[in-house]
Amino acid sequence: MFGYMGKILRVNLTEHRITEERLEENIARAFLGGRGLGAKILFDELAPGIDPLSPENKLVVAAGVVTGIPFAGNCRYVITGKSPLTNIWGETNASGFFGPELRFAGFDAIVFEGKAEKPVYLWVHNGEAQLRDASHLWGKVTGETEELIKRELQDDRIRIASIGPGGENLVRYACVLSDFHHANGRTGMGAVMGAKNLKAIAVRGTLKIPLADRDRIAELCKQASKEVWEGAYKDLLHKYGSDGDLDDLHATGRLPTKNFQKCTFEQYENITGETMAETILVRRDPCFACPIACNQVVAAQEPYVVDPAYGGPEYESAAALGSTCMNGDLVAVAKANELCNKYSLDTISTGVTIAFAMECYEKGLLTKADTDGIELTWGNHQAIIQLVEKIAKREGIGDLLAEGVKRAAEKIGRGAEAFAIHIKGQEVPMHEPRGKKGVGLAYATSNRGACHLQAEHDDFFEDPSWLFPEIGLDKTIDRLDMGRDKARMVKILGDFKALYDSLSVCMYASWPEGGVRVQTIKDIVAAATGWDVTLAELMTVGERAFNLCRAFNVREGISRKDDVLPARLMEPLPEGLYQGQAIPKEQFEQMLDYYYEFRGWDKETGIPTEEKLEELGLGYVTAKLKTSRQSK
Amino acid sequence: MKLTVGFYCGLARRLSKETEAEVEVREGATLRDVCAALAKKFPAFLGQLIVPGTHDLVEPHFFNVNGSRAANLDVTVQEGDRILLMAITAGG
Repeated sequence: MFGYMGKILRVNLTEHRITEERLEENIARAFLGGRGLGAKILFDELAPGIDPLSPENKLVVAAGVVTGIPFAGNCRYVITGKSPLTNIWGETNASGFFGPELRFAGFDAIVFEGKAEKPVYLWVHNGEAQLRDASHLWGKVTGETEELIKRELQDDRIRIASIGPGGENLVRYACVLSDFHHANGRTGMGAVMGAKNLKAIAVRGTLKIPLADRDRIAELCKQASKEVWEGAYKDLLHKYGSDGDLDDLHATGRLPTKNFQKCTFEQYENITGETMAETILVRRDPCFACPIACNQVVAAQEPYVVDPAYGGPEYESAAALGSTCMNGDLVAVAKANELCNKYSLDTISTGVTIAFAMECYEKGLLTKADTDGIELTWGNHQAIIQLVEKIAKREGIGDLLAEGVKRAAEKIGRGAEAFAIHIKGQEVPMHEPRGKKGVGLAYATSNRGACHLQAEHDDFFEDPSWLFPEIGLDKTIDRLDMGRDKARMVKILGDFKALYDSLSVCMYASWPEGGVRVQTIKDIVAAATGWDVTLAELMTVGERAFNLCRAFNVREGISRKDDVLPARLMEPLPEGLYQGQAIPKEQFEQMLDYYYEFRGWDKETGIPTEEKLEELGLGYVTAKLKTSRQSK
Repeated sequence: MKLTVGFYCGLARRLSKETEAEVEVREGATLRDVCAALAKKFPAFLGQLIVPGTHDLVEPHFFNVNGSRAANLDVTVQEGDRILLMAITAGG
């Protein structure tokens, strides 16, 4: 088979046993890799109802079919498993260099199962793999872990994905870090590694990806390199990173502020990408084969020492650790971001959880007696820094906040649930759905709980030049529209993003945010594999992955009742350009009806119909869902 | 006629240090004329936000007129129109 290394590594941590499995061509073509491949393995192999932090959970680390082929945006890889934050489908992808190196080391994916008796790390090198003792690494932060492993294996070019104390201490939103600052951020996959006593995965290789038509790939990579320069956001991303968007979001009143109580932030100018570039930026780093170089690297001495090795905040981190907590101190934002990267904490969940605690403090539900004496007032950046430390170490109030807002609110009680801004247990990211209503529907129906990456945002599709009739995006729709066409758009974009996460490509390099055309990516898949793939086939792969993840969740008890937004995000916006804009329940439910109709899901239950699953080649899933429901 | 243009994108606010601006244009003016007037008032817009010569808007900026996205810069405007200068804001 071309386009793939053709091998999956299976690592049984309990038995300290490593085996190789062939990646079958029919599975590769149906799922491509990344999210899709993870969904196939986990749906088939995990029993419903298991504890995500138990040895029964599995973790799939998977690259995609284009990962490592040298064109911009091809570097991503995806970690999937059952999430300890949401108890449903967990998934998180990252860029950098780890994904390509995994393939050059000889494998398309690694499946971890069981639990090691003592801390270990996996070393994969040119088709060989071994588990090594990591007792001496336990307790170390991510950067130190990487340095020690490189020294031990005597190779600086090794790429390492690891966890810090946040993952070891089973913070439910612990992430996985590679190269100090590329985060597989969301859904707590770092905690799953911690629960398995898996400290790190180290990969290094010089193997070549077998390509069906190497000359054609060379041509297409050149073409993609030209296209990436035509991306509308290339300059913005290079100069300011994704934080270049923060001022636009403030200007339009869509910047989550004060735990989503506000949507503009008086001190916004302090934390924009532009201010970062003018003050603490030291350089911009690229990912594998990408000329954009959007990773903003920062350093500071006062009021906090910020280590540039850990990168710098992108938009989500700047808003979560900044405006959401009313923190207008850029160096404090950068410090909190650095600590999250060191300790392996998701910056979005960390920021939103701290904002939740601040609101509880403001409303008297938490007092100094609960906070270990910390004044948890809005904007108190010393308190934010202290809380990040405490959460990672589960010290004092950090132990409560390490559970995420949903569980913390349930423990605090007395109405704290109203301030817990989450969907399906995952903290809401930094996009205000009342000012782009499609994002609201995507949030509510995302398979991994609140997620801003499940559908490209509404703004694009007001503009005819961004339409893409070949995949069904054939009419412009206003950002505030909540009708049938919007529901259809969100469905199509959901499949599309599932495709991107299966391929696995970067949204900043590829259409619509990046310049690389979808047609070019399709041609690269065809030239790499030798398959006569069409755009329609690729979109079906996305839809298949989306539905399989939904089926995974249905088996865990998810249904229409869970496809909701937090009450606060449905109320009228209090200020800004879209003041008064709300997501009324009745209209939301109507939009959800339309969405289910386009998805081919039962309107009452939100469960994929037998016909839809059959159409996607997932007929066997229906039987598994039925068995699961009967056993409940 | 006099028109007020609201700046609902960070770049326009940063370059002008204003959140809105009043411009004077002829009766029957188009949005391209509005761009020219803005460029005259704020020369810093030229290059970064408005293309010199053609007075096109630099991607991904656009106008919203009376609550709807303007299809192009040939759209005519009149006194009392609510004109917003915006940018397509991406996710992520």
